[in-house]
Amino acid sequence: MITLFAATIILGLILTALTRRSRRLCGTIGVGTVTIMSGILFCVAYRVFTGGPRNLSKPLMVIPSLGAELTVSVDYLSALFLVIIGLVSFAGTLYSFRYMDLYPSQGIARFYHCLILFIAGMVGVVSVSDMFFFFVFWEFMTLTSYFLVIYEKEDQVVLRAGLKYFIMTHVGTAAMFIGAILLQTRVGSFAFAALREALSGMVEAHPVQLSFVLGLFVLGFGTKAGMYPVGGWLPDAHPAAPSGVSAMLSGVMIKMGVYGFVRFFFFLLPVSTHTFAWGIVIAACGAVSLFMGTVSALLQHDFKRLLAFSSIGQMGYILLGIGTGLAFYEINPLLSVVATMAGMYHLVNHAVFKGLLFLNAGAILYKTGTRDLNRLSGLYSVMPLTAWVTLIAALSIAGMPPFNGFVSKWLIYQTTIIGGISVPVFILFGVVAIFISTVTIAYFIKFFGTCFGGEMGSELETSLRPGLDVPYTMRIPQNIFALLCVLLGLFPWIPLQMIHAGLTGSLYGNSLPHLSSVFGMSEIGLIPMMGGVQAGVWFPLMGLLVFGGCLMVAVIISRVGSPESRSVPIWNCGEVYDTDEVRYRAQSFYLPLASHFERLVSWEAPPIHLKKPERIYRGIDFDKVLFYPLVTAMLRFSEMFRRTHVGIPQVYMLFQVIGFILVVAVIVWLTLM
Amino acid sequence: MTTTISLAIVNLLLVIIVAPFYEGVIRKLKAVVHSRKGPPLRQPYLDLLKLLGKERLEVGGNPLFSFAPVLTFGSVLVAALLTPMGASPPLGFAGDLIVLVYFLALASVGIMLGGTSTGNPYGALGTAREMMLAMVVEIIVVGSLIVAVIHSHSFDLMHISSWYRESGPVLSMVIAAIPFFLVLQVQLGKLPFDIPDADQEIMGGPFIEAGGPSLALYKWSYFAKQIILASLFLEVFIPWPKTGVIPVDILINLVKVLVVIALVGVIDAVNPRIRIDQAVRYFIGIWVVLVFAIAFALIGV
Repeated sequence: MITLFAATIILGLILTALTRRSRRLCGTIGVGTVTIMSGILFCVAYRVFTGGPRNLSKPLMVIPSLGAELTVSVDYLSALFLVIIGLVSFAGTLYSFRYMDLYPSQGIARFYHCLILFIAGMVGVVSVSDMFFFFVFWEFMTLTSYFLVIYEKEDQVVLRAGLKYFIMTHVGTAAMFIGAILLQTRVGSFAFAALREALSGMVEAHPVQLSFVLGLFVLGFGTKAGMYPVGGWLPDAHPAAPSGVSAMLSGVMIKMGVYGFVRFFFFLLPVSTHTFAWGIVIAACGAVSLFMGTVSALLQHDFKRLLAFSSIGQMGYILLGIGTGLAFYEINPLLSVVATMAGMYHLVNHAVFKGLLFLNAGAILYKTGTRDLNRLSGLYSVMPLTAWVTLIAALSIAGMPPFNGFVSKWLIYQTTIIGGISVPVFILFGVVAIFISTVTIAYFIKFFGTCFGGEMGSELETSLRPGLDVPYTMRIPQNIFALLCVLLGLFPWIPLQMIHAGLTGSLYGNSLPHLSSVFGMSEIGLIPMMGGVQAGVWFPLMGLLVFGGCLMVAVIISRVGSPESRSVPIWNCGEVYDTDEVRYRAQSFYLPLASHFERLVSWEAPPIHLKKPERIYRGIDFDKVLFYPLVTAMLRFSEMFRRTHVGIPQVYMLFQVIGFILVVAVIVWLTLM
Repeated sequence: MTTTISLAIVNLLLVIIVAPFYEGVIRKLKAVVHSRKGPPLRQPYLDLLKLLGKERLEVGGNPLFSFAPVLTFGSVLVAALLTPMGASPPLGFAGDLIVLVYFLALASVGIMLGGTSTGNPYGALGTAREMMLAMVVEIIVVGSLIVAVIHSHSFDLMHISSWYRESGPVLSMVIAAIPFFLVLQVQLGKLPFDIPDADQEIMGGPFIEAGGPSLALYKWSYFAKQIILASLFLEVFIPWPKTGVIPVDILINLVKVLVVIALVGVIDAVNPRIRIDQAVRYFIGIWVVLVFAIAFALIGV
């Protein structure tokens, strides 16, 4: 399997390079390669889910001096992530086939190379069981995604976004690497099993050091997962990338951070007081990022940026779920399982609906050429399919029954509130989560209403691409995702079974309760049991049936008088206006409420007269105090080297001589030691 | 099984047939407060019937415009099936408290989709206002119900209601009842919070383009919501008296609902409309009351 996978990648890379002159041919080969890769991933996942975890018998590569071994092992958790990677990658690549027409001046082979390697990197991250090679693949994924983000390399804004992404994720990765090295020095090996030993050895002996290490890991994984405030790269980088890639970044790449959290805190960290403490920390980070991310999204007028902020918010739900699961491991094991599974379920759902939303955003961008909501209106008449799938995705992400987002959010509310009875701070998290769900509806009403509602402005009409909707290779992925939004909501039992299997071997160990003792005996509905009480109940199929019946009743009532239809223009209370003149634009939405939030999410000093308030606010702006100074320092450092390149051969000779003398001196010194 | 089905039919009949009667009562009451004679009690029925026979206007060729009222009314009917109205909720075996709240939210989403689908500036303005109110208000509805959840350890409405009936008045529940009652005014589109559809100001907001059967469905959903929310309020916060005989309980509930709706009507009659920013600030103030209610519930009083 693994040879086949590697062969596909290499063949794909070579063929796309050879055919780079023809955009269509290159695209076909690129899509074909990714399709085969996804097929292999599905196949591996299927074999794991039916036949148990699979490992390669011996490591592919060994670095004895570091204690690192490239061991490939795919357990249920990895298989779950492989399914998500395969699905979103296939959809995103197929979508990009025509979408890349938007960048006629850029080389196409470069795009598919980065894309294929990016997918390979993600697959590597979830399927190795060695921390060192985890980092190798992690970096692989980060670097290739960086090149995808800056694909439009002449645009200053894109480059700036890419730079921010590059620096912020590397600060996170560095933190994580330091943590891993601290552990490695104790046991001399990077293997996950060895790290687990190192961690359990530290629980009693060095609790402070352990907390430090765990903090570094939370920082590292949190940066990738878009956790507030270290996920600040996300709203810049996601809109900058081509939309198919945005869907993959938001759909799967940021989930790798969550994979890290789960792998580390549920599989490696032994059960101790740290489990509870770090559970609360992760849940709190989740609650903060879901609040800040979603409220920031409410204030955006650039729709891809809006979706990127919304990703921060939705990652908050996922972190809240798994954090709650971790915190309640000892207090209420059943609740803990429900919460963890709810978080993971939301992860699956988010991959689907956020992938779909980015594809739809890309479709609008492809059709109109603008990302500004204020300039859009009345797109329903030219892209009806995109309008309907956007509506499905928007209702899913807003947690409306009977779509998939509802089920996972519903479970998260239940666990946080029931859990809050014993640990009150979780009530706060739950209430924030419910409040934010309404805010989510609000920004999607704004997004949907201004894009698709109303009549099209004349300026917009002239700038449209010809044809109804978007090309069919872009429509297929949209339809797949929309269908999944509905199916995952109607049959929650299937993804929950996969997630439940994914928790095998985690800290729950042999005491992992059977699925039917957590969610009730019926396989068409969920009756979560938490600590002896039946908390709630939701039967999606039954709900859909009744809902359909009620909609029929509504239709019958509206038809009972057999009314006639007539088309009329918009009624502006008798005044005659041009539609563009009186349009209610995106920037006008929620102004009175936005003033309450703006102070929370933008870094301008409030009108209170503190002593030196601007200094505090400047201190919070990580861009200014941390990342850009780092970059300037780096550039200045490189500048020093540039100055040494004077272009005179004699000077270079001098450098060589000095270097030679230094090397000899060091060797002599070492031998004398 | 037969009880469930007959309860389902009773609930649907209540929100479809009986709901306009309550609206008639409110109108009459309002007229009395204003020293007018007022329309007869059957006026809402006549309005609905007349609207159902009028022509259906298509604005802008967007099918969402015709779909939105159906979505709204359908969601309200599901919500009615999830609400206990004297007896247990007929669909209670398939959905709990949060499902109910979200079907009510879906009804609002329907109104908002209809409001933005035409491109009418008044419609979009009304939608934005509706959404702003929903943002500050929905959390109050859920928050005050959470107080009951904390006490009863369950999201099952029947369980919550029977717990409160047995363990008598509890301080935190009394405190939580106040925000919930104040929010009824918003949810039912009554003064001083009928800001989204302010007829004299923005000509009905989201409903400006709706006519004929569409408007009938919107109006009907509001009438139905009156019974649903009042019943929910009564079952959770004032579940007494209960006889155990289902038809009697349903009748008692109807009388209680009449009292609550009459109170809502009186508040509606004597208040002016306030601005949206004032309303937002007002409800953010109410959040504080809710925090106290939840805190009291957590310490068990």
